[in-house]
Amino acid sequence: MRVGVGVPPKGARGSGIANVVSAMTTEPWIGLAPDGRPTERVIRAWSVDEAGTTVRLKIRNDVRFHDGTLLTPQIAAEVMHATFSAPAPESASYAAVRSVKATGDDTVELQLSEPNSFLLTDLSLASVTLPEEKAEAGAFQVVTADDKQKKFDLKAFPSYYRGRPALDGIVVTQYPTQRNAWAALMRGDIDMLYDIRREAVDFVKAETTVQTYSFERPYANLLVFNVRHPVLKNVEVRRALSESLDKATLVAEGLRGRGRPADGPLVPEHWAYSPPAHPYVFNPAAAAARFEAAGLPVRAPKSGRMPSRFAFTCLVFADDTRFERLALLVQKQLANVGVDMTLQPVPQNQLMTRLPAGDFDAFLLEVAGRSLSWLDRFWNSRDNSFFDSGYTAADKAIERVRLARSEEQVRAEVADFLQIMHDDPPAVFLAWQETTRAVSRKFEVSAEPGRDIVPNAWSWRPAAR
Amino acid sequence: MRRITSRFVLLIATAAVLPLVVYGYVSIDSLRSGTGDSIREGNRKVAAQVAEQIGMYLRHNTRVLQSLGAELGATGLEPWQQERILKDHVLDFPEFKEITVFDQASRPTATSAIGTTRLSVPEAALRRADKPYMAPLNFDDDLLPTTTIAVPLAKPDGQPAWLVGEIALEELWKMVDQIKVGRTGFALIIGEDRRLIAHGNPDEKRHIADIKQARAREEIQFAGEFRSRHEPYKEYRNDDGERLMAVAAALNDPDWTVIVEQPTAEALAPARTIERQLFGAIVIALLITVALGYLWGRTFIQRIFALTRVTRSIAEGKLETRVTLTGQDEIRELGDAFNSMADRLVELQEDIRKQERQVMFGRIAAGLVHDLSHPIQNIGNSCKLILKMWEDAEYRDTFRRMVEREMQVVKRVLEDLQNIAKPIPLERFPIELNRSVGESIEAMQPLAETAGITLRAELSSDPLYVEGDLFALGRVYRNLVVNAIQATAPGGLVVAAVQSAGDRVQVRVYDTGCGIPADRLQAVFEDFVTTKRRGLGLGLAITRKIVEQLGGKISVASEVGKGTTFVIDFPRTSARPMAQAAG
Repeated sequence: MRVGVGVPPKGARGSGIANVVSAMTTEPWIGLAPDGRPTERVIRAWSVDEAGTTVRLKIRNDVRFHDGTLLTPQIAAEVMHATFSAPAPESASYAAVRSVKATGDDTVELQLSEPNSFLLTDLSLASVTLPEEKAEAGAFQVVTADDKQKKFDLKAFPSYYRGRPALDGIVVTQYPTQRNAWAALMRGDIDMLYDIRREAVDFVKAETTVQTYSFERPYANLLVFNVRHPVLKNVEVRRALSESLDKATLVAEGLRGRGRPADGPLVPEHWAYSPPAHPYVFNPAAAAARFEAAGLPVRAPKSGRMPSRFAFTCLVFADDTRFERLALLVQKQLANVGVDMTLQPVPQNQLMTRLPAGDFDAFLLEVAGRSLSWLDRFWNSRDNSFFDSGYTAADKAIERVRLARSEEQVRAEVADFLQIMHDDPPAVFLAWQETTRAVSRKFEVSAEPGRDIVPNAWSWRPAAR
Repeated sequence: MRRITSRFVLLIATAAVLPLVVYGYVSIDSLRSGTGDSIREGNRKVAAQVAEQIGMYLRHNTRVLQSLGAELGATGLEPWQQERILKDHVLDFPEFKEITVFDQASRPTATSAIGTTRLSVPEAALRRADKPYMAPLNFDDDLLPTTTIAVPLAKPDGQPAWLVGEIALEELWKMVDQIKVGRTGFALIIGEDRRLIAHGNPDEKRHIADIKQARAREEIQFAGEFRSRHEPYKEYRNDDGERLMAVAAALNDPDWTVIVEQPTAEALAPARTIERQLFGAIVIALLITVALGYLWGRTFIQRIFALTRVTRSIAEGKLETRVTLTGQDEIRELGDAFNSMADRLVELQEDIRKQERQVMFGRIAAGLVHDLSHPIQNIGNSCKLILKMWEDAEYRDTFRRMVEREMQVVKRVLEDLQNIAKPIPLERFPIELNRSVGESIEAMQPLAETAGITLRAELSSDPLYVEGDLFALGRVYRNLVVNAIQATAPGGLVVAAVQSAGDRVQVRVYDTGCGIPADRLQAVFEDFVTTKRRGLGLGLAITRKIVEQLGGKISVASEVGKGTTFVIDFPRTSARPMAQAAG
């Protein structure tokens, strides 16, 4: 099978050839269900003691690395130890792990310094990789990769623990743009298009030689505020901004209907999700009233600017046509209530410098929202390395979520956290977005409704004639 | 023999069906040619409408830019206002991906883009500063078409400026996708450089991105022919070998060609359906006509058949058979006449029978009188004498012998009469024919000598056995030989010959007598037929009866003045007489 991947828009996460290859060649310790609960993968069972500081993980005994090494509890403990003690660990929860040791024939025991409800789900981010040999344990293994990482040849790993993949190999090719990749699909140069542009989805869906698979990505488009901004620090202003935006229109026109409005940082399907008590609804009049009450009437314009209540700059990824239309719509809707938002396109490298430095008024971004640890990563000022918005209102709440020791407790603390995020919004959560993949009908793909097909690449097979 | 039924059906078929078939052929032919023309014309109008719609779409976009330009150009708006308007337009008109205002030096002054504009003023637009300009389609690296439209802006200072908009051809595609002809007919657009721009068939869109393949395609060639030779119609095959009917229409600005394709089979399906229906109707009409003709003709002909059957029945001797015909026509009259004829025939037959019975009775009576009067006369005379000569013992003995002899004659005559009416009781034993014939001939030598005739037996060298009654066969030989002697003049010859004939045995009795006339030859075996002055004429009848009861056949051949030959043949038997078998 030939997979085509367009270089992702700068602001898009979870895309790009690296992610595709990683999804096919690596194996996570644990899986995540659509509701955010951990599911068995290499770790087939787990338990946490009452204190929440001892985590016992049962390891499968039939997992092999690409170099043939059999995964034993001892090796598993070594790999985990390397992961947890990496200089820049993927997840902040790893810091809670004091020790890792193999006990028994199939068990690895983690001792934590304190309870951490994020740790198990964070294991879904860590791959089972032999640290020195760099050997992975996924369904496919890399045979060749060109020096600029624009093309990867993968072959099936016969000893994959879930079964030898039916496909003998996969070639993953990067194209300069998603549009290029789409053209390659049209020409028949590739069998699968990893991401289809929103404008192209309807055309691709109509083709009878191709099957499309749409699912909602657990990434929210949001307008994040720097709460240190002289105006944006006012919670009423941020509430008014939330009421100024017609999310339904943003989805319909900005995302071409491929998504749904968001009301918070956590996907509604998450098991711990609870809706806000009084969600914000599009109400320009109410927003205007809030602005007025906050002492922000519409004033005469400064030179070259529109009359406005206040102005701020919103950073967006430069050359990212995906966000362009959404950004324009947000700008227009805010302009309708007298808020002058200037869109400033910024290259990715500059953005990655300015955001953590807090050098922004606001920015338009997409942020993951499938697991609770991501909430901690983005909305806990202590752990957030992506941006410094100055927001601390939810710190304690997310800490309580992290320290919760039971599902009931987690659910209660998450509800509290979400309410805080609603009442004192650090951002306007605009929409959860849908993405679509396309696969030639020459291949049969096992697809669960509403879920990404790539994690099941090991089960894809040529279509029966 | 050509049956009247077939002729009748042929008549009906020729009179009624032939015109129907001719009409059907002409209709179907007209339908085919007319349908093809009307479909092509209909599709051509669709293509022309599509071309008009696309032209309107492109002109609409140009007008949108022009009105936008008017809004921007002469109203002295501030840049942020211009940008607001441009952005609103991009949001309101999804086909515009970006719109940018350029000053007279072609520098961007306001744009809908978030960052730096991607657009520039086309060189060709600069050369025609007073008119909107649409750039040729730009096929970039991804081989998907885009284009830009540039409209001049009237600036307050009179210096020309430009408003340039980038149009997403995907929106044009959606227009083309909505155009359907029938179930599987699509529209497509060929650009001015003979490149496929849009295709309504989702499975064919890939050719837009595959420029090498696209150039070689039939549609592209058709577009070229249309433009150069103004041929608006063509048929060709697609990649699957399916025949397509294509029509073209021109878009003049830009020089695009709109083609509407429809599978020929689908386009002509309604006509084909009508053809089949028409053909079916003709066939049904033909069958109905033939069936009706056959049924009606059969009704008519059945009466003739009935008449024929009755005629045959009467010919077989069933004179009581009559025909019953319905109707009030000449056939009915014929039937009535036939019945009358049959009635008369019965009457005549009865009359003839009466006459024959009378003749027969007369002959029998005469024969009986003749055969019995002599013995009865002799007995009467002798009775008279015995009264006188009773005392004479010698005469009494003579009288007894005479009475016995004459009574035998009477008895024989009565037996003959009796035997002709019913089967003669016969015994069947294997007998050797040479011996039985030889013995009979031996016994009749005195009679032959008396008549002065040579009588001889010609026997076969090998014994020949048949199943027969010795005494009955003796009578047969005597009848034939006696008849032969009686018919032969003195000095003549009578021969009885025995010979083998395959699995049968023949006995031939032939003479050199006077012969039997041909007209009487077949009647010689009939009862009471005789050429003699005396007798009932039962001899040969009884002879034939005996032969046939023994499983044999008898025939006669004769020539007047030369003689007669009787031939008897019996089936040979492998059985042997008991004495021989035991021996």
